[in-house]
Amino acid sequence: MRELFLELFKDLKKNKGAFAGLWVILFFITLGLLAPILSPYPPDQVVDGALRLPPNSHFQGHYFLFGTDDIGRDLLSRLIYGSRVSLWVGLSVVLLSASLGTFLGLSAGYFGGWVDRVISRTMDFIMALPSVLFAIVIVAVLGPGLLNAIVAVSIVALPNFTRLIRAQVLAEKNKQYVQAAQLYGAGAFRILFKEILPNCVAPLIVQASLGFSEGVLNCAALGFLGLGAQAPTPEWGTMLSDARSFLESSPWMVNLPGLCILVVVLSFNLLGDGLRDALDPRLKNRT
Amino acid sequence: MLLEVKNLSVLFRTEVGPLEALRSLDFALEEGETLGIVGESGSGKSVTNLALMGLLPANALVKADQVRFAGQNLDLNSQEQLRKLRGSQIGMIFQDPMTALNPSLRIGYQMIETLQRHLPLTKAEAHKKAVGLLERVGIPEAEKRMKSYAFELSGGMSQRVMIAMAISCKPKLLIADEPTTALDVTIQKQILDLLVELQKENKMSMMLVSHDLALVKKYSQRVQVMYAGEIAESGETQNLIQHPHHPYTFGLLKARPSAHEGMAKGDLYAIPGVVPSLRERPQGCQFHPRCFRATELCKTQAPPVKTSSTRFRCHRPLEAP
Amino acid sequence: MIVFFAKKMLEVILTLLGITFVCFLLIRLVPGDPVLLLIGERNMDPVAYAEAKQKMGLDKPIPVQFANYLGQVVKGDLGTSVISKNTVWSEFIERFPATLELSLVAMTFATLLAIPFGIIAALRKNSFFDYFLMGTSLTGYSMPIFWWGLVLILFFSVHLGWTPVSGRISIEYDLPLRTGLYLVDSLQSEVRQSEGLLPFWSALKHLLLPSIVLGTVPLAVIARMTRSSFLEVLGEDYIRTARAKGLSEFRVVLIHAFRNALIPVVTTLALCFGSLITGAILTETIFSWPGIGKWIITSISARDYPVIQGGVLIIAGVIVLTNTLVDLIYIYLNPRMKNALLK
Repeated sequence: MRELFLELFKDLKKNKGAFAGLWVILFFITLGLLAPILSPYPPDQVVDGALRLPPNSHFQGHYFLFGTDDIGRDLLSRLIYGSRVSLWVGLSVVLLSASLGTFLGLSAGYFGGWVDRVISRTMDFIMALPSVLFAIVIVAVLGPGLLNAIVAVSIVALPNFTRLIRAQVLAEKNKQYVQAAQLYGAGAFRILFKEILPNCVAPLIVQASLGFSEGVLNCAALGFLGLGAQAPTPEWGTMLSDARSFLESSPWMVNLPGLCILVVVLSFNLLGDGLRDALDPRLKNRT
Repeated sequence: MLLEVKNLSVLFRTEVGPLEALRSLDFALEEGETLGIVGESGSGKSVTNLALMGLLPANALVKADQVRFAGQNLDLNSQEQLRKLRGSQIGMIFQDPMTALNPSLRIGYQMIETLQRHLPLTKAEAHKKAVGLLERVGIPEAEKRMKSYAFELSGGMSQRVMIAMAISCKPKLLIADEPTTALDVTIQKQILDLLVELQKENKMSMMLVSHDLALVKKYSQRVQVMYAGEIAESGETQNLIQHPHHPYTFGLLKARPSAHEGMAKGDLYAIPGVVPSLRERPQGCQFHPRCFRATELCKTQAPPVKTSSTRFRCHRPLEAP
Repeated sequence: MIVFFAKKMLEVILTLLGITFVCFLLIRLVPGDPVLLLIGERNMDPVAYAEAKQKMGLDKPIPVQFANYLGQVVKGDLGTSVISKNTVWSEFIERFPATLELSLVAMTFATLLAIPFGIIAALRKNSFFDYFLMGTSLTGYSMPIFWWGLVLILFFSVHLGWTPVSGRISIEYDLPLRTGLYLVDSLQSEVRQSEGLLPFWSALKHLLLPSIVLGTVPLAVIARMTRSSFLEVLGEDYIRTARAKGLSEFRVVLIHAFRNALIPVVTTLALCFGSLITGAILTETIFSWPGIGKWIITSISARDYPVIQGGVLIIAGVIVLTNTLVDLIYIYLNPRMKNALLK
């Protein structure tokens, strides 16, 4: 396992974009993890009178590197905490959809029959609806809020993982090592987890990275529409929505959160692409 | 002399550095003559063909002292010049006919476009000519076939279509790169006989490229044996078969029981070793690692070209049997 | 062939059925009393409540309710908005042309740029242009388009004053609507006679930024797809044959390669339709574009459940039909599959 990761790292280094993406992601992860230490102010702290100050502003002894928002909160702090929120969102979406998706995919692929039909039809159905629309509908039912947004976006991301795993299972199912294990009386779950799953790890990793960026983007979209994170939670998309009315007067309120979203999503996409290129030829070499 | 090539070399620029594919090739072709080119995969026989046509990928560096075709000097790096010759003066057929035809276009379309490109024909005239060509190469229900797609045809039929397309504008030279390798043995003879017939009819010269010496020997007046980007030996077919000078030629002949005449039949013989890849070309004589007659000289010095009944590159050629 | 069509139709119907069921379920899943939600009142007096419940059939068991709902949908009755009191269908029809026009212009812009760019990138692989194009594409589809729209508004509308901020046309023009597509309607003879081409230009200017924003993601996706598809095709044997026949490079790329490379690109175009609705929702919100995207969002905030239920059903239905249509076109373009079908 360790050698695999080291080799992967080496391959990834060759792809400059992916490598850059990786560092940017690590940077944001650090920001998120160390938010309480790194951010100059708590994200909710309102400084009276410091309304919509431009970047690089001094006010009554405070210094605002990126300016303040319309209520008087430090934008830099909110952005830093925002990265914590976004990363947490992305992680939750990926964990939820990947685990449930893997489970469904394994079941569908391995057991076949009506299990497969039901699961596949449901996945087709979810895919037939455009992602944000579906997420919006789910949130409409569940009510707005970050948690509901995460659930909605995870459901939307489910088919990606399910189909991926299912395809892998179908490909591996007929291979000899599985039939051999079956002959030895191994139970279904043992086969699935010990034999088939390890071979699914590579495409899973790629999809996870891409799923992360989609998750962040979709939740930000929901936040922007007022259906995701609610005030005062410092989510970048929600911050954008609040800033809309001040586009002309305080553009930094709009540009900075948006840039953050773009950079994080771009980095995950770069990483995902790079991972895909690095892992692909390897996939072909595996039995 | 239809084709004269002097000192052709081809280099590929790759991530691992420049790789030499062909090294100082000299050969010529008369009108109406068939030159057979034999070699294992990796010998550079296909690269030679593609270089002549200008169909090598962008990272290929092609150099030659002189290339003369039909009285014209050719610049193998000039796509413009070569494009005028392709299809009209030089035709080429490839190894796998199933993938060599466009799967989304009908056969008729692919034939007519070639004809209209090089000849002043109306669509109707081109159509008629195409049908005639298909019939000539032995395709039944030619008119109907014009509307077919490539995947509807068998391997043999596809190859016939390719041949029809390649000779449709009556080229002076036809390059056949392993034309029958992907086909059934029974079909192979039919295709090759067809090629010979067409050659006589149209007074074409042919370069017949194959890894199969028996095949090449049967249909060519002269044979050129290639190894690791060089011509190991070349000469008139009879001379080459009866008195091969180069140990590689000897090995090829011995390996193919039906190919040799006047040699003792024994167990199947295989030349030990493998063709060196582009990255692993040896010093001195290219063949020395696999040669049963190799000496110290062979390991260090590239052998010069010598001529007797055939032309060959060897320090210790075989004496008369 | 007939079997194939029948199967396809069955699939479509099943999917539509599924979607209808989910939409039906929507109201029942929302916390709160379905009767009140559908009428839009906070509370009603018991008599009126009982009457309404019976009238709407909400006192019957769920399967019967669904059957009733299905019957209504098939007849075209998708409910009534609690806010405007108009039927959901009429509200949809009123707003659909706006989204349609925006989508068509956006897709045209995206495709007309993406395909040539993708082809050139493939032909000049690893050149500066190629890297630049691929980098821009990746940025394009990583972009939060709701932000991108705001940035464009900031730059072009606010700073430069070149384009308007919202709406479909300047309020001074009163277009008699025939198709609902402003670009078309503004070219009617009666309009041209009284105002000349000014309304047309106004409509065009209003369409400019929103279609760029909406078209950004499709542009990126199609360009990448075109490039990779062309790269794959250009390496195929039959391209070498085409060159060996002496055909012009133009012909080799645009006829021999194009036909085959186009097929995956068409599939991608279909997938883009799905993302267009998503994009439309966001774009229309930013530009106050009176289309169905904005309609859905406003309805959700206003808790206009009949609209949400009906609107989602219609939108999903349109998408499913579009996807099926594209599937069919794909088969038509791919002679191998077409042939297999005809046998």
